[in-house]
Amino acid sequence: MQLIQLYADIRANTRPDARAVVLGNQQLTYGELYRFSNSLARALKSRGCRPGDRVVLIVSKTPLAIASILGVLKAGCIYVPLDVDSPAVRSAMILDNCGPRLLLVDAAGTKKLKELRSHSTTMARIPAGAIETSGASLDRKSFVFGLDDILHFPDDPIPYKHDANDIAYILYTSGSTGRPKGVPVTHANVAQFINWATSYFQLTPQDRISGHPPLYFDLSVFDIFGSFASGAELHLVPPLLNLSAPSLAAFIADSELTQWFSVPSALNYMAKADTIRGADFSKLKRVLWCGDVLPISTLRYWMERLPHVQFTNLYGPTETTIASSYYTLTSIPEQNETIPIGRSCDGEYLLVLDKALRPVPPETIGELYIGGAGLSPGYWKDLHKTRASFIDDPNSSGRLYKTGDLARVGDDGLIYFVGRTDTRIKSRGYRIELGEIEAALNQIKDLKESAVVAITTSGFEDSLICCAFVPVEGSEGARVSIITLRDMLRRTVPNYMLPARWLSMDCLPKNANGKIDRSLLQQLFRSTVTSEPKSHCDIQSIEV
Amino acid sequence: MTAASLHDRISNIFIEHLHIQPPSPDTDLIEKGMIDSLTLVDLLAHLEQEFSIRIPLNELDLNHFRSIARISEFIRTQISDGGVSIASYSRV
Repeated sequence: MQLIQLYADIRANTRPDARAVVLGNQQLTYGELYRFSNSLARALKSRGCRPGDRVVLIVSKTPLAIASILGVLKAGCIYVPLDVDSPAVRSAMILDNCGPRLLLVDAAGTKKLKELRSHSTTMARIPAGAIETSGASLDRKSFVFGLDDILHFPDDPIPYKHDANDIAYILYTSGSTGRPKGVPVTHANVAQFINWATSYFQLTPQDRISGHPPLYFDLSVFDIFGSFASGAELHLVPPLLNLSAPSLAAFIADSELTQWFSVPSALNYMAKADTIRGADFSKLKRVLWCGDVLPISTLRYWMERLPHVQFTNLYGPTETTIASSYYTLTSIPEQNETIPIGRSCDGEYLLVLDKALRPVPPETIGELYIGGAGLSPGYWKDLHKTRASFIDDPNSSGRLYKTGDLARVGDDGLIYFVGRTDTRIKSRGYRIELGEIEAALNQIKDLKESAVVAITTSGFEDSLICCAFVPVEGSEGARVSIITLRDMLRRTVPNYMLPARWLSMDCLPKNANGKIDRSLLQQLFRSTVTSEPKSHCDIQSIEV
Repeated sequence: MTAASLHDRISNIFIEHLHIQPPSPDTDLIEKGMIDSLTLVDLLAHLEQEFSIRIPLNELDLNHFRSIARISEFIRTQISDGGVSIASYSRV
């Protein structure tokens, strides 16, 4: 079975009344998921959606949103989840690139839809369907169907014409030129990982699985389809809980979760606030993380307090589907140990190669390449970027994805992540190309020049985004304030890309080649703000 | 300390450190998307520094930080009572 919507259908036949997705007092059983998604698939088809068409989801992470994903897949279409909090300019670039046939919107997404439609005339022409609001209360000019229209369609199964090599979703990641890159992933790509993971983690219908990441992160694909493949309950974590570590811990305890899967920052936050103390995590069996390096002190904190829990590090970029390698801890690591990204999941392989694509000897740093069943067909409508990152495997007939990650193979045969070959960083699990932020800053006329660097911290996040800039001097020496600058940047990039530290300078430090000296800028940001500047350019001010 | 001066000092943290134009005292910072997890941690650290208090993270109640008015109220009633504090983490 390779079509991923079928996982839930099988459960709907055997245990229709079992809970499938829960969010507070909203919940859907497998039977309800089945019926709603069948009806929605028909509603989509009635509005001209054909196999391979893109349907963009402008929704919050709710049970109905999950059911809608299944409906889109059943119509043979591709789901494209949008970050509702992202600025309109960025969302518009994504919509332009994926060219959707239809938009699905919930109550929370309606405001975003209005914003997008006023942003461009192309957007105004794309029809939208409301999944939460009844048609009667909808502005018929803005929506082609509402919830009651969906429910009016028959809910028995519809025939499929697509196959496992068809695309299931497109997720957008930060692009260094300022344009987000679309990563299409097929049903077969997903099924490969889900089949491995449900078997490796031994998921059962008794499992209660966290749904922490947003739908536009591919970690959510494991939560959703891993739960459905095993008939488990998916417990969606309200995003607001991320602001409060005690609330996150209480959620795990109160929902009696058996599996927690998130980016490291959530685990970090709970550890730093010492929230495991006093919380009842007796039901928890597995803690999994992916998307970033988990600080060893955080891991030790969790492992010391929860000896009954299995801890697994997953690794893999969106381009190779959810995760491509894993490492399960066998004992509490020493404080100075490095946790490997481990070995490849079934059907995938990881290679550490030199510039000539030859394997490097053990303990030598090379670039990490991934091959196998998880590989995306390549970036959506971007042959150039696809050719640069998806290459022919010189040793087989397959392809390899060039991750841009530096790695080494240890003497133990396991793979260890070392760093990046470029300026991509991770912050709270978000993959950020610093170039995307710089491209946005370059559009601001009040700046003569600017540079964005990241520094590592030992605080909550492992990367802090810092911006050094040279303001244009206006009449009477007026300069743009950091507040204004931040506000302007906020209109182009999502909040998680906004620099946390700013430095106004007379000119940016340059190296002998006349390029911006980024390592010096990193040093400047790392040193205390009052220290003596080390460049020939004097720091004008730290704060405005 | 008067409510006005408390408001001013909190607004100053927004301007000087978070680089956010402080909204009116009753604006819901979370609902308006002005505060995310990273900014919140920054805000708490600066509040601790500015008012020489400790905000126990393991007892963090988000409702105290929803608006500048609520933050003022919280600061006024805040009694140093140990617990885990933001200031005890190394910061940049």
